[in-house]
Amino acid sequence: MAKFKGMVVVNTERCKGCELCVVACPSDVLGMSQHANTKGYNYVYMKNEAACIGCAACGRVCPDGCLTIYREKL
Amino acid sequence: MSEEVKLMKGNEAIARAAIRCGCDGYFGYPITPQSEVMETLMEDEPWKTTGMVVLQAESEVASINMVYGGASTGKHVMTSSSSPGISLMQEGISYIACAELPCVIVNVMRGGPGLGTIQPSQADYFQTVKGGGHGDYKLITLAPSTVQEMADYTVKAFDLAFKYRTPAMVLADGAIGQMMEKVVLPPQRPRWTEEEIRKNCPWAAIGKPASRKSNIITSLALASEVMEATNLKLQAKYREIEQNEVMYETHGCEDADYVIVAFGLCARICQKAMELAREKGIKVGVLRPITLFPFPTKEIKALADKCKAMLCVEMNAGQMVEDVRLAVNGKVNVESFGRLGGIIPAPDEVLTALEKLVAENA
Amino acid sequence: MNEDIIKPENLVYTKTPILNDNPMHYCPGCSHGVVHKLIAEVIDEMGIQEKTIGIAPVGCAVFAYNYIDIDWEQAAHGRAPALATAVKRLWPDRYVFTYQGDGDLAAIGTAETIHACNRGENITIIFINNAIYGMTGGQMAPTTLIGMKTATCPYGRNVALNGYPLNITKLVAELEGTRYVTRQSVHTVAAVQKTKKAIRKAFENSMEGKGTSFIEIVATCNSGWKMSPAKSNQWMEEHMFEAYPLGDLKDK
Repeated sequence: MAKFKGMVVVNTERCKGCELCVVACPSDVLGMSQHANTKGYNYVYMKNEAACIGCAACGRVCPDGCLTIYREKL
Repeated sequence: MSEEVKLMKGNEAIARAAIRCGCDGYFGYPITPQSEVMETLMEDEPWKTTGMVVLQAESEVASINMVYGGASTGKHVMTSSSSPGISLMQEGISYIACAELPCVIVNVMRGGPGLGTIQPSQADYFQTVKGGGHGDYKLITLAPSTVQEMADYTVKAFDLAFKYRTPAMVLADGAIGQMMEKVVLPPQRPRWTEEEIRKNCPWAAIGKPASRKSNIITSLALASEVMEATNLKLQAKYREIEQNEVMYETHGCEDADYVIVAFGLCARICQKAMELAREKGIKVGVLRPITLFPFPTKEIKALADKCKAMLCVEMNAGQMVEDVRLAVNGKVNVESFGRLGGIIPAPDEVLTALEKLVAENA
Repeated sequence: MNEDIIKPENLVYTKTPILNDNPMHYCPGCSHGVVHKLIAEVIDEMGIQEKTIGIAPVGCAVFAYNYIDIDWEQAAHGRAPALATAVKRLWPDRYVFTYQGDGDLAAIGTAETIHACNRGENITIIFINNAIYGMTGGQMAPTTLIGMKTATCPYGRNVALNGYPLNITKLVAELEGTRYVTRQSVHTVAAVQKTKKAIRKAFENSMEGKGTSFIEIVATCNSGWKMSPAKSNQWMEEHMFEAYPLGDLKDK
């Protein structure tokens, strides 16, 4: 069982859908939305929220600073 | 330091005037015939007295970009070079002009084209007043004719550069750079403090306090409309400079039938030629543009209404003569006399050219 | 679900305000964005926004000044170290850094790079090496690998025609004037953290008067390389790190 639960808030307008966060996530939390933002990019979303441990790996590799991460101890 | 009278070379006068007018930084690269500018600075070690930075760069390209960097921070910075070195600096000068930064560039001209000669020349007139680098820009250009003016116009160039936020050039030649004359150096002006820079140059990139937006020094605008607006702003500034800053002097023009137009060292030679001509009964006057941009167009035009012909004397193949002809606009004949390759014309040569002018236009 | 944990006390990571809200013009997945963010984070954490002056290059990062909320000067192509030299000498208490790509720093600006480093200017040089000219459309860079295809070596870099990839960081490390020379990357969380530490160290060094700090960041240009961002990172690991191995080259 994970000791933390986490939450990734995506700035969907800023996201360019590069998917580097998807690769960086150790818990396979993130996926690409079917929806596109106003620039036409499919943005990232939490496809598996329950698995998130709030490690912020996604945020750190994000080139555009789109991700805000919260974490709470279980 | 108080006012001081000394015998010195034109190049030394530039260096000492720079220190005394509160210059913050000099960045240069050796080239004959102006190397004494940096040599004098290195000998005087102003960093120990006024705090002025002096640095020998790896090239003229680096020098002018150091000037660009320093000017971006509201400091009084300058460089000096001679013709081929100034050619290398043109890209940087264009950036500085577009970014609207004040700085002083001294060109102690030598004969070209190419590596040319180290002897004096005025063949960089076109390069200086017609752009030189890419794009539509102008350089305020002051042309000294004495060692005293090398000092005076270095100070004046800084004042104009800061007044209009634009690069200013002191355009001299190898003879004025190398000759020794008596010079009165101005009393020491303190360098600007950080507070003064903040107040006088609110645009300067010196670190962004929370109270203002970031200052960005750039010459880039990908949108054509923005770049056009930038250009129009520059052009408006150049028109203002043309309105306010024209400097020239005249000798014997009041009753002159023939007017010689010459700048820098040539103007001094032409004064002698004028005396020789007047001894022979030819009424000659001399108009000497001191600012080459802005050019004394109106004054030359006014003389054209009163005289029979004009002679433009330059140490080049005839460059300023084009601007004189534009000013005169066909009203009278404007002939050109020049020596090339580093040769300084003698007064009697000028007299011969004058006599030819008289014969053809009496 | 987890939305209830969105509270200030639970915040782990968010974009620093020093990286402003302007959307960056870089291609999706571009390394420039990560490095910009790290510089902004270091400036934020050190509390030096008021004392930092950045020098932007010509190249893709020409618009760096639009994103990091500090005072900037935009240099002519290759001349950033010359500008930085003057700024630092005239303002010794400022943190002055250049941000340059491989074409800017290692081709047209080689002389300025070498001489600023050799004089030991107390500046930070951040060098993004993605082995290609990004902005002009993917031409050969001085650091392009042998055999690597670009718009101006479409059949691959050929030594007989184009010479060898220039390892300028190695050259710079040889100079007496440099104090800290390191090569990093930003393709993984660990690499990102290391690069951030290197940037902070370089900034701190610049106040100690002991010479130039030079950080190469081996980076990707997925548009120029014609690969996805994730694939680019993989390709970089497999090919770039051999020619440009990561780690400190000098730390004195």
